Amino acid sequence: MSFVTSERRTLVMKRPSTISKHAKAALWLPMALAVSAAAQAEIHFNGFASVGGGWIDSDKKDSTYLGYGEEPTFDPDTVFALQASADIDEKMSVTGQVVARGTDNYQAEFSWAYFSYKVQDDLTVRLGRFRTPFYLYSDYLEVGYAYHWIRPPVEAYSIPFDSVSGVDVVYQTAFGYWDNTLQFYYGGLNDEYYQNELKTDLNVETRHQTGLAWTLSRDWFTFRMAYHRANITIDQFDDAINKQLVAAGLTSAVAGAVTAPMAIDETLFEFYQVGFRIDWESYLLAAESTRFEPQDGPASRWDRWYVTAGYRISDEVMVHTTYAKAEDNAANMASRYSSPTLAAIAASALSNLADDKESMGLGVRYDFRPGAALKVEWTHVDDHRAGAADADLYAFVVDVVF
Amino acid sequence: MLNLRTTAIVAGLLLSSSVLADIAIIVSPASGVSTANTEDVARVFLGKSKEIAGAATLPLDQAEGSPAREQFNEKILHKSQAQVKAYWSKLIFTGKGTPPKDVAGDDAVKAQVAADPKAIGYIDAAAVDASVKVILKM
Repeated sequence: MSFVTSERRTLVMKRPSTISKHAKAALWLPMALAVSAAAQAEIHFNGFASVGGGWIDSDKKDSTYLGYGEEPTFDPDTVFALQASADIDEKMSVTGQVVARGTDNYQAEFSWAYFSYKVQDDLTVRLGRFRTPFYLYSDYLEVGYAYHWIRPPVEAYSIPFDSVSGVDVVYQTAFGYWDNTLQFYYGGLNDEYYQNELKTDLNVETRHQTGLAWTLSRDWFTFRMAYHRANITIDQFDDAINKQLVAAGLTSAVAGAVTAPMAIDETLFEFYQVGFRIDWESYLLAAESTRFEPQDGPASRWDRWYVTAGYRISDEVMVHTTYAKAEDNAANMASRYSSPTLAAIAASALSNLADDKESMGLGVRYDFRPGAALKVEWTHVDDHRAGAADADLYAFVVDVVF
Repeated sequence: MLNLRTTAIVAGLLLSSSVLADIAIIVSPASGVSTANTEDVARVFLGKSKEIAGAATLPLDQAEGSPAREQFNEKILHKSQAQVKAYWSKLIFTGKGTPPKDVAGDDAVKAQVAADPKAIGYIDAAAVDASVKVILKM
């Protein structure tokens, strides 16, 4: 799908670090108020952090990958998070998770903030903001300590708006030793993200966003399937393409004629996911395949998957390898144009937004202390689009939970 | 077989009795649970189940890094300490669960288990006495 191909952004501008402290304190206030309402509430604090750095090596000047450039940077994989949860009584709890990311200039924001009500032992309803359950690793997407990679392969984990506000129902049952989890949610979001190919911020709004995720697991085996749908509006999408065309030398009349049918306005998108994970003794094997597909319009269809395998040399050291592929289909909008020339310009403008790349990674996770892991990874990316270059990313991170 | 066992016991006495000692999964004598397998016990301690054979259970862990906890991780959960921690971090940060409470030492576990028909804990098999019921020994 065209509008994202998102790489996490790196901001150049730096702010004094004290700001994020204040921002954090301000953000905690509503949480503290909600919590103090329940005078007897027991509050649990937990946190996680990832601090890392890296650089890329590429044939093409000024290439970036995941926010990394040829000069070493320390922001793209760096994240700090603090979570507070309070049990109001046996059935009710409030949870808030404040996350400050290097990619967002360490400005703290609530990634999760919800009220949870346990209707009965196997049924929980949550209201608020939570992570959209797109992928197998979505729930703990930023908790690097919870998985073997520095980050899930970005070729596959590519939807940039990963939280949603609304209501969510989780139904958990067991059949003997098999656990069955059904998660259903309804909500929407209004968010801004950086579109790497268009080199601009785009505002995305989803309405009637809904999804169902089913997980079946036993001991070392997990299988997961999900379906999501939403009406998506991206206001400036056609404007951004228009600017690109004008910058490329088209007259504004021609650029306007090309981009007029390109609005993404209440367009229905559907998302499908299937994946599994086997984590048996010293071995890890996981694979996931996803499709993100617009009903029509200028967005391309994303087809993305990965497979990863790991081996634990000892209790502390795991080596792993991952192959990931993005093979998108650019939108075919020919029928929307009366002139074949306009259709050809549109096709060429949109083709660049369809990702066609694969990555191969090798990495080591070393659990050097309880609650702390050092990870080192090498990732080779082949970008098959015209004018794009291959790149090698060398990165490390220290993940902690506390 | 006998030889191997004897060697193991001797080695255990020579090195550290806790390294090779058996671990006993215990409940209160008043508990409805009389026997369990490793998967039953693992599911309770990983927060996947709240019962064994229909009887409610409330798990008590030993302190992280303690010999009993290490034995339990290895023999019952089949996970390293880091894997157990990673497992819980998945649940904690998604609001889907919290790890069992830690209780320090065999005696404290025994006392709490003896006093609560729902409690389930693990101690060095040599520390078992009549105040608790063993449902599994590994």
